[in-house]
Amino acid sequence: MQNNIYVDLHVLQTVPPSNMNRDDTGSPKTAQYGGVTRARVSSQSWKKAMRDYFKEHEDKETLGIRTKKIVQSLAKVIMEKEPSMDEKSALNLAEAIFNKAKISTKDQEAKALFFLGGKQREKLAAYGLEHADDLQTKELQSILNANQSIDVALFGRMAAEAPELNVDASSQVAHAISTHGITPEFDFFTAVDDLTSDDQAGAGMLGTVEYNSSTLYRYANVAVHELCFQLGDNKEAVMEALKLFVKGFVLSLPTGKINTFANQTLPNALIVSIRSDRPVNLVSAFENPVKSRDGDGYVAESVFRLKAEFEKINRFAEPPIATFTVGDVEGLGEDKESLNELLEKFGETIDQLL
Amino acid sequence: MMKTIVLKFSGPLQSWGIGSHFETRDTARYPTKSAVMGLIGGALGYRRDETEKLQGLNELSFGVRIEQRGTLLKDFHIAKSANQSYVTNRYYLQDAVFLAMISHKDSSWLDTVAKALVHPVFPLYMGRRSVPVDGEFFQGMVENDLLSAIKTHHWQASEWYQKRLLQKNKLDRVMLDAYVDAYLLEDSSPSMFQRDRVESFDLTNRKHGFRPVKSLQVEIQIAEISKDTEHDAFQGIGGV
Repeated sequence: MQNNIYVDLHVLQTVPPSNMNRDDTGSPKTAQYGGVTRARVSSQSWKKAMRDYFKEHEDKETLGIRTKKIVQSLAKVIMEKEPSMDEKSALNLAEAIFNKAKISTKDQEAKALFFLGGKQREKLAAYGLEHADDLQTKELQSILNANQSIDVALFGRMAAEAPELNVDASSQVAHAISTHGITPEFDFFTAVDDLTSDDQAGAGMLGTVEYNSSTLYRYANVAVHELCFQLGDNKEAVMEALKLFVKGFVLSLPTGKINTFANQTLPNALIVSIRSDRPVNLVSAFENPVKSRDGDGYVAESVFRLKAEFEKINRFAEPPIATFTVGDVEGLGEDKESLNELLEKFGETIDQLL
Repeated sequence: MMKTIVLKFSGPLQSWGIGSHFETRDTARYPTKSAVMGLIGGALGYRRDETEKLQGLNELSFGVRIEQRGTLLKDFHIAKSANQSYVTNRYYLQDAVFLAMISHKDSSWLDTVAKALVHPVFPLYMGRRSVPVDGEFFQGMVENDLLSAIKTHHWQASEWYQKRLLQKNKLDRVMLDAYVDAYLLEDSSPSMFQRDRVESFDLTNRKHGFRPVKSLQVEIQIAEISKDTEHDAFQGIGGV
């Protein structure tokens, strides 16, 4: 049996009135669980926030961009490498490279969003310049399949037109749901027109914004053994990707209506577990919705439930290789003072395992 | 003695796509065989292009029982680029619970599958990557053939759901719908054809075939609503 290394991340995070992720009618997303309505922030929404965090915080070289403007983006690199080339021929060469790799373009744009890694751009440009008259589909596709950027490896890539270039993600990010039932609330607002004459009492505009506040359970995992495979056993890149993933998961926040609600919170509790058997999602701790007893709020009870579920699961599954915690949760493994301290110890443990 | 693996699919969301195309990603009302065989393939570490190995999984007998129906959720999903948005509607089942049963006469193969399910190479999920299985997913292996297991396994709906259904109707038994590979039922009931036979998961050539399925209703007696839903998942495979 191969050696599995899974990293599980569990976060409890309270957000005040907010509408981070909404549906086509503007309502915050919800789901039913345990017979009651829960606040929900979709997986794709939080992954977008994580990718934005990645972009801001790490080395551009190893990261990817997701764009339709792949031709311009590659042409820019081509011109940097070959300053004598004018823009038009660089664009044409870039387009030829993508078309030859079976990624079709229209008006020099991809037909769907495409995940393109920094290293892939570099290699494609170099290959393209060298073999401008003799581009080979196989060569180009193998460049795209190797040299994967960290975020393509973690989040996967879907290219409808050239499925051989698809990448299955090595991470899983679950939809965040509230540990308790919620009732949707509506904020009725009026806006006064500053230049209205005194005899006009009406508002200039009125409307409603739907929102809710919640204590969210958020879960994600990474199949480290698969990440190693994807990144070509480049230990350094794997370590960087993992730390970035943990930081991005903990510190990012979807930006929906953030200026209206300023719901800029950080997690109340974080559990990071390294496991050798399987990833374990602890959402079942909250199937029975948490209730706020005597107005004590949801966090304390949610932490208590999460700990109980963690311990219960470990009686059935193999015990984790290591568990680190930060925040309002103690006694499950090594409790750390700060996220940085946790990342350092987490890094050391992973380093020994690889 | 035949053995049967019992899996439980529960959690806020699950999605069992059947015949999805383009912008609308639908879900069936209960887990499909292709999804569960894909999950087993993932547990065993088969990659998408290992078509022959994946097709071999069709040999496993499969049945599912609906413990708690759940309701349909439409998830509006938008991907944006500089000058265009791409909208998809993804459907999920919310608050549903299912039991999936897997069996085969070759019990050592079944042991291998069971071991892989608790030690999977790829992370397991219920039809979509964003809906991972939960901690109670592996219910163990029972010493029973698939049909007997589906007829007798205790009801796994949530406590609130059991209470609501039973107390409201003053019942001491419940009728559950089950769907099994047609060859498991030797009666004259008609088969329906479901497009969830694994042909190829290769991304360049994804294909599903038709599978004859028969439905049955099973009656489960309720002794009392058990508060304790804990189970020893590893007993069935000889412990860990």
